[in-house]
Amino acid sequence: MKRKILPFLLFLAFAVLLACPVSAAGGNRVTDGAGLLTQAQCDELNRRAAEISQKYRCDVDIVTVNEMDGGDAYEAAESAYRENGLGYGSEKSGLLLFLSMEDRDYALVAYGYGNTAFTDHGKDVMLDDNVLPLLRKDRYYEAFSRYLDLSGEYLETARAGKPFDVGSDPKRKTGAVAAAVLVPFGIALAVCLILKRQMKTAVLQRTADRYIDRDSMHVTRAQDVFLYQTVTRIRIPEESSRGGGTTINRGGFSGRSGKF
Amino acid sequence: MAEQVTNYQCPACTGPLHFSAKTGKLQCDYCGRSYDVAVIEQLYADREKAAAGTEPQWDASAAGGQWTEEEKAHMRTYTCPSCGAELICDDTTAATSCPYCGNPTVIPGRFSGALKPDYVIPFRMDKAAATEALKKYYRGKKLLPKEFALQNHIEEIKGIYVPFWLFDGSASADLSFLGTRVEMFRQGRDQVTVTRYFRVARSGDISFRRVPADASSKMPDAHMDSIEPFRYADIKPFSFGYLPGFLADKYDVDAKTSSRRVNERIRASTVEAFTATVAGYATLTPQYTNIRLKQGEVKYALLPVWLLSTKWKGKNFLFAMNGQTGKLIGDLPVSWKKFWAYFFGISLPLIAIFLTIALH
Repeated sequence: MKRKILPFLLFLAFAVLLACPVSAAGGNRVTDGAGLLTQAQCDELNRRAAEISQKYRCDVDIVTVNEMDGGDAYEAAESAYRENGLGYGSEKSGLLLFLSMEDRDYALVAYGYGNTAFTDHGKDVMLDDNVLPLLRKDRYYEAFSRYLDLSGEYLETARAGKPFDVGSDPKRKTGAVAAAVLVPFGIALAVCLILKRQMKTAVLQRTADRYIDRDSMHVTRAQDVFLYQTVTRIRIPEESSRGGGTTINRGGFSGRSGKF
Repeated sequence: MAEQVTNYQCPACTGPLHFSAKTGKLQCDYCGRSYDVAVIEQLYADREKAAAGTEPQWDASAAGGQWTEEEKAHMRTYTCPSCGAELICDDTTAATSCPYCGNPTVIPGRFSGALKPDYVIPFRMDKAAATEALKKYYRGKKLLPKEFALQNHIEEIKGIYVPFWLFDGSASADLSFLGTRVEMFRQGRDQVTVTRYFRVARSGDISFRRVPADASSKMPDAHMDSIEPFRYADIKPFSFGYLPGFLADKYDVDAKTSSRRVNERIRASTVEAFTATVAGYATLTPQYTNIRLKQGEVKYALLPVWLLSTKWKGKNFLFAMNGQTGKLIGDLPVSWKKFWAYFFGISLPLIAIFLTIALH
């Protein structure tokens, strides 16, 4: 693996040289190696990312590259994070959105305090409902901008003591409220219909079971013949983060990767 | 090798049969069995015949007898000008109102015609029991309008012998189903479902005894079905001695007309009984059902029923109690005010509780 990563790091270093200038406070938050942004956009994002980093003591980074050297986006993102010394303070807290344009790979990884603020569910919502749809339409600036906005929001809620997670997702909350209203209506309707049914006791009988002559039933033929069989296979989906929280790997990172 | 495709199905597995020129027989692709052409043709001809002749002709000629002149002399009839009910009773009993519609003027007339019943089941429940049963029936009915129970003329409850045809008969059944057995297991990262298909066939016979069908057009079928069963252990040959004090209705629906519903009930029960012998399948889809009914005896009987007909807000409500077993039925009016009171009385507190839980 190391062999593969080395040329990639060289490329990354080159990309950093090309990248837009470093903004005011400590380090470069946006490294646009793939050239997806104009200089002005890059400056603007850098400024906002730096603000968030300062305010919440947690870096929010963006790295784009043209190609990665084999491997997968997740590993590449981890390497980029480590080798470039990303992350705030001694804990190296941060969140990194990594894009490789050759095969349109993405990865979103968190480290340190980033693991607390950005839960699995939080990252899923950020990617699936916000960032990925924009990336798919090549609207990179908007995607990155949305990424920074949401990161700020997540860090704000995390600072208040309750990171955005399964339980605090407003969408799920709406669902719970809807269920809390609809289920009682359903129960009440069922009870009332049972009560109403008690009022109607004159019903036509459909069968004559009770008039079957005792022991008069004779089964003269009972055949069960096997004809054929069908087999279906369904891939079991990966365990989802339904329970909430953050799943951290052995390297101390959490996150996910894929294609956009 | 010339092969002619026919639309015959294998009697063993329902697979398509092909005529094989080589063997001169019909061959099944699935199970490999082969049959003589004549055998299969005969089988299909029999099936067609069986399907065509499934409506039995019940023999009603033995049902009921003739009244003697002496018996006739002691009989009276009443006709209800409102609903058309024709009632008979002995000369010691007087009808004051129609038990079916509650009309207080019934017109006495001369007794004529009509069959003499073969059987009668005597009343075992008296009027006091019927009154008590009706009071009890109202109780616990949460949606019953309060005024309904109060305004009800429970004392006008009347005992009446309702005419019934009792049908004996048997049925032969040929059923076949497509059954599936499903096995699910995990293999690596896959969920594997194996569905095995079976052809399930059942044939046999079953007999039914004294399936009742009410022979009075005034009496709603649903009411009489719902107070079943009558215990036939108490059935007696008809005798005048059981009539005094009660009215009896004259049959005005013949056995043939009544038999249609009986046939349906026997058919449904036969299918259910044979289907119940099939076990161990996840799904069972009927593919072929042939029920052949065989005629049996039809008898004419009077069965005891307590009736209360009452009007409420312009609508007729009829209650019937089995005069032998005491089973009471009848549709009651629904108070929508109470219905919605219950609906919101249950749902709103629950919503409050659920919301408290959901928002925390």
